[in-house]
Amino acid sequence: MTLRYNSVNVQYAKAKYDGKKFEYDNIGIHVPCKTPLFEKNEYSLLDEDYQAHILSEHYLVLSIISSICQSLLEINEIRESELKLNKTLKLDMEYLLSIKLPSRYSFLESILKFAEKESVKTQITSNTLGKNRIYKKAVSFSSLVLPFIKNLKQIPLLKNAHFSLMMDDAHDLNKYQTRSLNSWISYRDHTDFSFKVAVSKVYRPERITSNGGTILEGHDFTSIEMEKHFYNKKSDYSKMAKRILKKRLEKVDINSSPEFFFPINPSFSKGLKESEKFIINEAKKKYKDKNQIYYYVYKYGRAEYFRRRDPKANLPPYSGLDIIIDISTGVVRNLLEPCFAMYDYELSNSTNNTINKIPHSTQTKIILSKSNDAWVRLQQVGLDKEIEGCSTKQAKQVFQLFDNLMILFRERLLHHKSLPRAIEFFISERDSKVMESIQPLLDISQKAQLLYTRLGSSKDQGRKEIFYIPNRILLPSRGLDPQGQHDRAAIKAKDIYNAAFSNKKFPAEKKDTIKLKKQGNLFYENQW
Amino acid sequence: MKTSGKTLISVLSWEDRFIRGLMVDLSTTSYKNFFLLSHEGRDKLKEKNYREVKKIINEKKINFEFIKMPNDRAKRWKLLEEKFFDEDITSKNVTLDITTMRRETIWTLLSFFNSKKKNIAYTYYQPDYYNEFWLSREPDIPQLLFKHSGITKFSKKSALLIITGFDTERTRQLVNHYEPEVVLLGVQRGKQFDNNARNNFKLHKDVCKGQTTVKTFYLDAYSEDHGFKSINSALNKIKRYNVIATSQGPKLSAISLYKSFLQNTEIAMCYVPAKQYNKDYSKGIGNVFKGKF
Repeated sequence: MTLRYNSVNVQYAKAKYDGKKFEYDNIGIHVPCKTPLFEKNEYSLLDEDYQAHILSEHYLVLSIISSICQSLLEINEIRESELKLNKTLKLDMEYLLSIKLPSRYSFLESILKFAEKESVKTQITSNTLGKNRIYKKAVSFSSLVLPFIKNLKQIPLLKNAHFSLMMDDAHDLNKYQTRSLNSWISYRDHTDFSFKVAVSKVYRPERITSNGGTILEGHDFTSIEMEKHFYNKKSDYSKMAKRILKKRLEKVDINSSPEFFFPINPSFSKGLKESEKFIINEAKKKYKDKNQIYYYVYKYGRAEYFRRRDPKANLPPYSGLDIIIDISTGVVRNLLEPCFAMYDYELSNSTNNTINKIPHSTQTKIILSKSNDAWVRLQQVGLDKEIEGCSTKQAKQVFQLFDNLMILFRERLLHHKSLPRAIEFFISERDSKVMESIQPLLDISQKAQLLYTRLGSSKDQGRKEIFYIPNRILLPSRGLDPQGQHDRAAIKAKDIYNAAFSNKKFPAEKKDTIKLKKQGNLFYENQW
Repeated sequence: MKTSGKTLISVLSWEDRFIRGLMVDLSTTSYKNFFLLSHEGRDKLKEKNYREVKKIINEKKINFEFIKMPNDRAKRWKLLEEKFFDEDITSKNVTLDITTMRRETIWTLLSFFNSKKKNIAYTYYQPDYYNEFWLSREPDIPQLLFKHSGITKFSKKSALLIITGFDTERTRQLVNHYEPEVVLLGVQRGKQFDNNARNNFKLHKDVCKGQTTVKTFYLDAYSEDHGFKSINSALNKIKRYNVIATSQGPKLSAISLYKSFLQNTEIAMCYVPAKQYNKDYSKGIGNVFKGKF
């Protein structure tokens, strides 16, 4: 969606809508890679590697050319501008490619036709029975895209244009196409073009180029994590979430703030405040230093609410904007989906189609429903049904891992001294053989968007560490607090292995536990 | 073409209907040549039937070749291409026993034999009943058949034509993988094998909900044309798309779908390999269907 948003077509339409002049200095070209063309695998029948490479690059180059032409043809100003130079542009390309372009079309239209024709002829050749069916007029990035872009810049509107070629779903490229793309990324001169490549988080693309070199992060490319990370109300994500919700409310003529629209359950709010007050008093008895008091309250304030809940009580009445932002786990789609479900629910039950706010009871209902759905997906349905490459066995192992993680978080919430509300973790004692076994499960969990990762600083000599963040939508069904604390729990690789493969509980950290003053469970056992 | 007489090609399986169907085939038709294909794996399960095959072959004195097909798709294609296209080892008259033949193999062989203008016949034996719980699972990534990956045009969006089977998750997987703008679900008519419950079009439609536009059509794979007219008519409605077509329903629909492909070579033929097949996939032997391609 981000790439599409930044495409020249969307940006041009946006500028027109806003009554602004569109500047042609940056032209975003959306190049989708999830098409049947990229599913073709006749290249693997060819005897020689270089033949497979040529065919693969040929398809990719034609796709890029087609996307450029289609994008620019949607903009009237460009169409009009190119018509004035039609003959020159066509003659130049005909000379460069030793072809004859159809006379009755404009320059861009005829290049589009050329790309389509070449693609079709190649596919017909590849699909013909018999060995090594190779299309002999394959094109490459250097032979077609570069001269085409140079030619386009003869159009006055585009003379200073920089073409951002945005490869969407690039994880669908085959290995030859990935290597070709890496080679193009490594070009030194990016005056006229650059690449924006979107891949799924779990996909670990090759960094190798066509001639066996490597592209280096920082030198040849930069990575941008699209999953925002957040900790508290003041974090960038939290502010962004509120802005997004405010805008969505304005679109349906609701002028309230998101805080007003998603009110918290008063008893939930009261309970949290009372728990915090209790812990403040406790902290003041223990410490004089304000920072120590603050941190004590930060660690135990909310945990106290969950610890003191009656074992026979229902699950907490999850509600309020903060909870909604928390369970989204830093992902905008996870934020909007439950909000939409809540709005839709209220609209269906409304007599006058006027929604002023979402009752806290509705919020709780939807949040718990979404949470239950996530567990149904994990346990009853199984991720093998939806994640490519996930076996039935692995689906069960992933469920066991998350099930045991929730049990661990529950134990921590009830008993842990220093990190009671830690609901993120990093993996310690990373034995390579153990990691080899558990990594596929972590990858599957990420593909399923049940687990997110980010790089953070380790306390150990300032190294970078991967932090794992389970999707917080999993927590409400288990009566846990989706608002975690800033810290991460250390979980040994072998414990993760045992939890997933043998369904063994994570071992309790006895030295860091406290005994509850009150008896009872976190929640009534039969609630989920 | 090196051999004369009639040729039979089948795929080794542990199912009852494989060996019992083969016995019927060999006792009712005088085949000179028999090519038995086999996929890698589950050799122990297939051993009993293989011994039976060898016994029958020796008794009948038929030219026999056992062809073990590798797991690697490209190698598998190349092996079959070498045997049945390059060397052309069968006779002019070829019968495919498609009972235990995967769609991929059916279409591969049809492509070679059709191009060599052979007289192609086919046989299919229904079982007495299918396993009520599951037949295959752990589907692998959907694949386009080599040399049948269609003609994709940049100006067109994607459409998926699925002849549905008992497994709605297969439908979901195909839709998730290809992200088509339109899905055409081809649903088998009839009550055979609890079809109405297990192949309910509403269940298939549900798994596509929210992702794509869904349309449905009906066919009867057990009719004379195996649903060819229905499939062709459905394909005509989505000509403006890049079409990917797959048969997940009754095996005979693989024949009619391939016939449709020959009239619409722009469509891409898709199959979904499974990693696991139920050892109790089916029991017994039921009706037989024979035809000429």
